[in-house]
Amino acid sequence: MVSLSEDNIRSRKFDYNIFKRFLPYVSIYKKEVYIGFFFILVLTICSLLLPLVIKNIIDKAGCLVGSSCENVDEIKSYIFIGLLQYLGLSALISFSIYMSDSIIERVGEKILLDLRRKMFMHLQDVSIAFMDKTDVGRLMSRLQGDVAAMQEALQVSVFAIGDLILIIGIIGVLLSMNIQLGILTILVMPILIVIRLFWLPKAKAAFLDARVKSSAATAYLAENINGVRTTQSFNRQEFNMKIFETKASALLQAQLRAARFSSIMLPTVETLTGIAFAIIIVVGASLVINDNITAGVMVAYIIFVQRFFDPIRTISMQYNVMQRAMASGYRIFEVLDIPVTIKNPIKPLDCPLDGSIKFENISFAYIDKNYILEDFDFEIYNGERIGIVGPTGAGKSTISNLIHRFYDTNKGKVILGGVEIKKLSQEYIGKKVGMVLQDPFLFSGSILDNVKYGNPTITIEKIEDSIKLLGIEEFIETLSDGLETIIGQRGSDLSMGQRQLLSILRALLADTQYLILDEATSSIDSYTEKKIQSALDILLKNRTSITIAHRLATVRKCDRIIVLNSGKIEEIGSHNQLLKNNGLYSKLYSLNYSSFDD
Amino acid sequence: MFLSPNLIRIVKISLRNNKYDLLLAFIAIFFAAGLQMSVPYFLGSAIDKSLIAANSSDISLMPFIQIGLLVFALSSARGIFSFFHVYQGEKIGQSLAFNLRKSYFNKLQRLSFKYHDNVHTGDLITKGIIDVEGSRMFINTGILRLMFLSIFILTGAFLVISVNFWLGLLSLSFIPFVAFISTFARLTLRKNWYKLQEQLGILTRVMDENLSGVRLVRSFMKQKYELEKFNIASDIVKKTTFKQITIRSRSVSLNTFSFLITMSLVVYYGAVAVLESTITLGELTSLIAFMSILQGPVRQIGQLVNSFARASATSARLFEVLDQEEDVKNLEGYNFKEPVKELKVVNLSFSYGSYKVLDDISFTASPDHSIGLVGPPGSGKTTLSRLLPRFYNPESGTIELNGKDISKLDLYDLRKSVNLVDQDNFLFSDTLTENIRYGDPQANIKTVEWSTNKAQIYKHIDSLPSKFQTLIGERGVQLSGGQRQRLSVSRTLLFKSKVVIFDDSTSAIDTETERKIRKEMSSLGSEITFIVIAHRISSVMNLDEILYINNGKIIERGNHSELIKLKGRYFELYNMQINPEMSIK
Repeated sequence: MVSLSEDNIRSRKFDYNIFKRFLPYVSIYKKEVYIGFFFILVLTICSLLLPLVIKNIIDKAGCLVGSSCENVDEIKSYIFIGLLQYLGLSALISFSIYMSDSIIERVGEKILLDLRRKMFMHLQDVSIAFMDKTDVGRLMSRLQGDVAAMQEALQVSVFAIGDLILIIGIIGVLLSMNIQLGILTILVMPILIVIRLFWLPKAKAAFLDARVKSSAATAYLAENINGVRTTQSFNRQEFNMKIFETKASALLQAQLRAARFSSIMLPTVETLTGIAFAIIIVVGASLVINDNITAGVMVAYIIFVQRFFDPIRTISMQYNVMQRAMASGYRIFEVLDIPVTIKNPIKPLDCPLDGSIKFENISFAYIDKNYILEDFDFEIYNGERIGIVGPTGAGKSTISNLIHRFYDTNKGKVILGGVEIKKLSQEYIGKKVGMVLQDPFLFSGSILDNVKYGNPTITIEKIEDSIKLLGIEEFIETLSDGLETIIGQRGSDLSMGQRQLLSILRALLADTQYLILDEATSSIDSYTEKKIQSALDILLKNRTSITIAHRLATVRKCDRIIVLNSGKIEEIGSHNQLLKNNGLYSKLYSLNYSSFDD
Repeated sequence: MFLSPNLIRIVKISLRNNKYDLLLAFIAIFFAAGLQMSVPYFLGSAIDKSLIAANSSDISLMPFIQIGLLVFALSSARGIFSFFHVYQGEKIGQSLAFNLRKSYFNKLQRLSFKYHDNVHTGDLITKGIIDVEGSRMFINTGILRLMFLSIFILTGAFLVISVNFWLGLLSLSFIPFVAFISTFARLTLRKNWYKLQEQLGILTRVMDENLSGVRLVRSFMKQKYELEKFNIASDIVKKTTFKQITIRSRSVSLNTFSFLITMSLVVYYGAVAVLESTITLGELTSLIAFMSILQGPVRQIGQLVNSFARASATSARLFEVLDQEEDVKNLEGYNFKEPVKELKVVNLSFSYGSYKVLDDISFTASPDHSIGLVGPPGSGKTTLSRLLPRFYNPESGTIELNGKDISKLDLYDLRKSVNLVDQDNFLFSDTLTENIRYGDPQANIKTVEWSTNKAQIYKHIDSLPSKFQTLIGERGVQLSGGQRQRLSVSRTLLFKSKVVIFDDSTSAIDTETERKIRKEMSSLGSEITFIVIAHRISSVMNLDEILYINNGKIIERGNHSELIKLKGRYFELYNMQINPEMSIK
């Protein structure tokens, strides 16, 4: 069975496989990416040309200082042409900034949404077995944090390519203007590279540490938000606060250390810029004095050097982002790689079902050979009302899991209405088999939307009829806005019993041929349950139903009751038959135990 | 004004906690900006000197070496100051985040159930991560950068105007345009950020609920519908983000454009002025160098504006939580450490909105007089159970412990005395030991074993491979409903409260075990008052007084035999459980 790796934020080296798998998501937007690159290129070239225009203008204007001056008007008109060139380049630069920024960022956003949608879609098909043992919080952090980290890395890397082109361009221009001065200026670069070589491993560790501490603090915050009611019950606020404070200050310290590492690059780069300036001033001046270069060239050098280190600095900062993206990419693809074990058949049947359910020699284990059901063989006839009772762990809920094909059997077949369920599509099973689950999950939103969940087109009259039939109109009336009442997260402002009532209503409104009630009334008092039972007498007519319960009273009215014990059928029969049998059922019943429990 | 009230508040928090860091940052910014500004001046003078030297016979490089060394020194000094600028900025920002996180955590732990009932945990978690981050970034990319830019431009303005008045003015002429563009962008971005945060919250909710309710989704096979929900939420986020991108890139592009036009004019008129000998070529170089230094910061104005807008939105969301009135808090806060002789509920009422959940409830419980509560769902039992430890405040009426109104007691003492075993038994993803001693983390292992023994769960824990060190959660062992319930009972046992309320929290435990647990609890030596909410008659029939609650009112009360004699609702309930054939009237 697959499971997600620990959420290790540990650094990942550049992994070509992750990179390769990421590419298809980018290549959908190939055109936009190319256009974006085009504008980055335009932007870079124009940025390189600007100082050259300035250089030309200065050279022309500087002629007065020298001796060889031509006609002043001619020079003026030449400078004016320079102005026009400059204006043209400015317009191009501004336009390219707009185009490249907006296109690249949009593509980044689109890829992010695609990745997230892909993951979300995949999670809709992944087996329940996987979902059962995976914490929602961990999936959410992959759907959000990791996807965002990938997006950031994508944008950063596109702009980094622009920066790289700029650096190469600047080097080229510097060398071409004057090879001597160019080489001397560029000599500063290797120093930076050497410094970075020492800096990198330590900085990497510091960045990583900050991320580890950050996720620890976040996880603690998240869990305590979920468990806040327990915290208040047990007066743990102060204690938890202390733990959180320790985690938060560890995070602070780690982040400050990381900040020291990233800020230390500033004086380094500035010092190197200072060296480059000094070289230009001394060597440049001597070249100007000897008439080897013009003053304009020297000005151009000054402007270029100022722009030279910016991209270098940005690129070195982006290391952290790329490192994180590798880890995130790994985690994203891990989710996408969870195999879909339960698949629809290629040609699903959609023939009408005859209302029966047949379990043919079923064996089933959640883990390895730990069989929950063994050689389970049983047939339910059309329109029958079946009850299943038994202690916890007897395999009651497993039966409902198998009918809906949440899990596949290890051995044997489930035949639904005459067709093996593997030949039906899961959508079709969903339409035919309604379920009231143990956990009465509700969505945030109105009560109405919740009860209509399985049948969105149902009319309000029909809903009201069912409410009356179930005898829960009093409960609905007590809600502040009736059916329109908005409930809190998962119905936390409703009691468990109220949530169960809504959950039953929801399943009934879905109006399915089969209905499975899995501990549907466990938190409802017997009186209300009784009312619901009599409503079910009417509602379950012409339907095949399975009622799973540990309370004996819940299944008493069923046509046949299965007493399940350790995955095996211990007794079958109607309530009266079972009483006569003098087996487990009648023993519990006569002892006045109203239920099978733990 | 430039700063919204929430931003001012952020700055104030930093002022309070990092006064000296801010001062240091300010000094560093001042010198970093000033030093950076002085470099163009010397570069210009080097050009002038070299041109003069080229026209004379003096070819000594000495003055250039001096200037070169000076520029090198200035750059290095500037580097050191900008280290402090950035590092201090980061320090202040991270400290702010630290403080916000702490206050946020603290606040959430104190807000009553009423608040938590109405918010989505996903929203709260997002606020604690993303919104804190947005506020943090405001320090460095927002307020400090603004300071830097202001000083930079001010000293620059002084320098360029002293070089040449009109050209200086011209080189500053882009400022009003940039200010206008940025103000406009800031306002639209701010609105957009608010919207985006809200919409991201909705998207989170859709994903979180889909995954949490996976069985429900699958049982109705509603994946397509869920995808549709996801797509709608996701598309709205996309549109808002796109709009944001447009606003941002537009303002960056326009800023750059107005800056470059200014620069081109400076170059043109400067060149003309050089030609007409109004200024020297070196002075023009100074102007150009000044402006090309500015080009980077002008591009960053976009980030600056975005940071202001984002911080306005995120801080508003954070402060909304931090400013939330704690409706349950210590009023007088009288200490209460005595044993509970009597818990008295007098004319208690409570409403959700206009609907009365509890209406005039009165009863008295004591160690000798345990109370059972029965009634249909929605009758108000759970609300009552949560009022006793004061998780909510009653609307009217009082709850008294030994004659003292609980609203006047110290909350800590009250909850130490009155413990609720809730029907939603939350267990933390920690070891069994830590979960059991949750209320008393210092408790020793013996005590933990003792309480599990009393709660009839010791044997099961002992049979697990890692025993008490077993982790609860995804990688831990799956616990059945009954096992979880017994764990939460043992957690309560270890907490040693004097009043214990069971809210349908033994429903999955069989009657025999339940009775054993209760007996063990009663025999603990100290006197315990029990209040038991249950659907199973057998859980309450031996208690001293049973209240049948319907629609928030007590409609029947008495002990088991009295209620049976009454032949009312309780009697019906009893009959139904021992004799299910009976039909309802």
